[in-house]
Amino acid sequence: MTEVVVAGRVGTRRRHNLSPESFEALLRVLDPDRDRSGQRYEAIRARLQRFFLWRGSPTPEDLADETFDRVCRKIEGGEVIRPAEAERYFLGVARNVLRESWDRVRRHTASHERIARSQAAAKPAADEDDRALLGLRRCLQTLPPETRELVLLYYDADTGEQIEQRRRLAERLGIGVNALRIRLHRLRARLEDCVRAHLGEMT
Amino acid sequence: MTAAVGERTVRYLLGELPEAERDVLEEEYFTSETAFDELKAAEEDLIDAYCRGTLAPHRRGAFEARYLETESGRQRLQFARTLAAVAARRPARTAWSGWGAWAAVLAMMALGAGLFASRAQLLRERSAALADQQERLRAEAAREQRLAELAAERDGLRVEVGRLERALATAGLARVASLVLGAGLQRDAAAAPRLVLEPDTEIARLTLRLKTAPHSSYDVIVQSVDGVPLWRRHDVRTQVTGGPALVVFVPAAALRDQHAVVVVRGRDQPPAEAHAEFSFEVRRRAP
Repeated sequence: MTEVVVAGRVGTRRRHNLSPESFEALLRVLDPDRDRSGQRYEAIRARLQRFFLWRGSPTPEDLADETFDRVCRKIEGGEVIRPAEAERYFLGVARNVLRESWDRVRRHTASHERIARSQAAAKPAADEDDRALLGLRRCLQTLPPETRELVLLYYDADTGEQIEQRRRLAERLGIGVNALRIRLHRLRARLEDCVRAHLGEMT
Repeated sequence: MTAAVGERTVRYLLGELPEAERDVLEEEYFTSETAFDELKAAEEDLIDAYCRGTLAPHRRGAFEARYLETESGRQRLQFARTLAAVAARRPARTAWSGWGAWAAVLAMMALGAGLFASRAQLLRERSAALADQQERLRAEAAREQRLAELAAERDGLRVEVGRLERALATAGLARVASLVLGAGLQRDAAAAPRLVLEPDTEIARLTLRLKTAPHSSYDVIVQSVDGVPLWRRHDVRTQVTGGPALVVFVPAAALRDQHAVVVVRGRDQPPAEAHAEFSFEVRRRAP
């Protein structure tokens, strides 16, 4: 695994066969400014991972890496990518990568094996639940008290009450319900990252 | 989010959207931050609905095929379940004031850096906890070491005091008057043994012979017959030559011209009890 520092952040690439030069070339395509190119790289990476996940790939991170590899090789090979079209370009490559991965899956993996695997893994072990609970509590403690309360209020409530509860919260914050939803989504995503880091640390 | 948009995103997330619509949606979220956020938020709603058991039955199968299949999907489900559990177990539903709401808005704005730093914070906390633990262990070890040193020092001092007292008594550096008090001696005034103190006597050496010596050490108190303490010594060990006995060296100045009682109490005996008592008479000679 190669570790690449992108605009002061550390991005981790798996199974890369890229030279640092080709990766640098990719960053230059994304933006001449090193900080902005790093941010754009991270944004594309996040989309690629979700794209593969939402399209049902069991290995979204690996396929995101593969997509980056291919784009970098194309740049190395002299292909010109217009910066304004970079995201669309990545999406096009990602679709090809996904198609090929399905071909590989069809060739090598019997579906009944996957079903058995998914059923076995469907219920996390009790100790894993405990660790996740502990991790979430610790991560919640890193939030300012009012924000923590907001998160807990937003995600608490029975289904019947939930809509009304969220409407009241949005009203008190002086924002729309959807704006609140997006903000809470960002908070939640970061909490999720925090818990994942915590679980990784514990294991 | 309108119902139509919501339906489209749910169908996309469950792999039910026709290819043409799917491609459009993917272009949207690859090129728009808002669309990407919207889709992720919709996914969270979907996961929450599954965890709460409110997802329509005909969608549960598609959801499970998609989210239970991957490690990443399973982790996200686990997180959603945990978050719901923690929110439900919240101890008090506090009133959320308008000021609190504004504080939360400000905190949310400032949160980016805070949560990105959460892993570092975890590591710092863990490191601090380990440092505390290490410090406590070090302090405990130092305390035990100090206790052992003090015990060794005390034993050494006790031996040294005994040696010096004996040397003092035999070297003629001070005038010593000796008295042996045997167990079973009469305590009435007439029969009490007499300790004679010359004007230049500095130390009275009292040997207290015991019938038994079940305690590890003794307190020896010399007091007047009406119970006023004149002198005391703690932690006196028995000597066994010729039977168990305690030897104490009492400054002559502490003794008055009167009858006195020696109370011997085991270290672990309650204050009201005594292991043995002896009486003797002090007689000072005029200069």
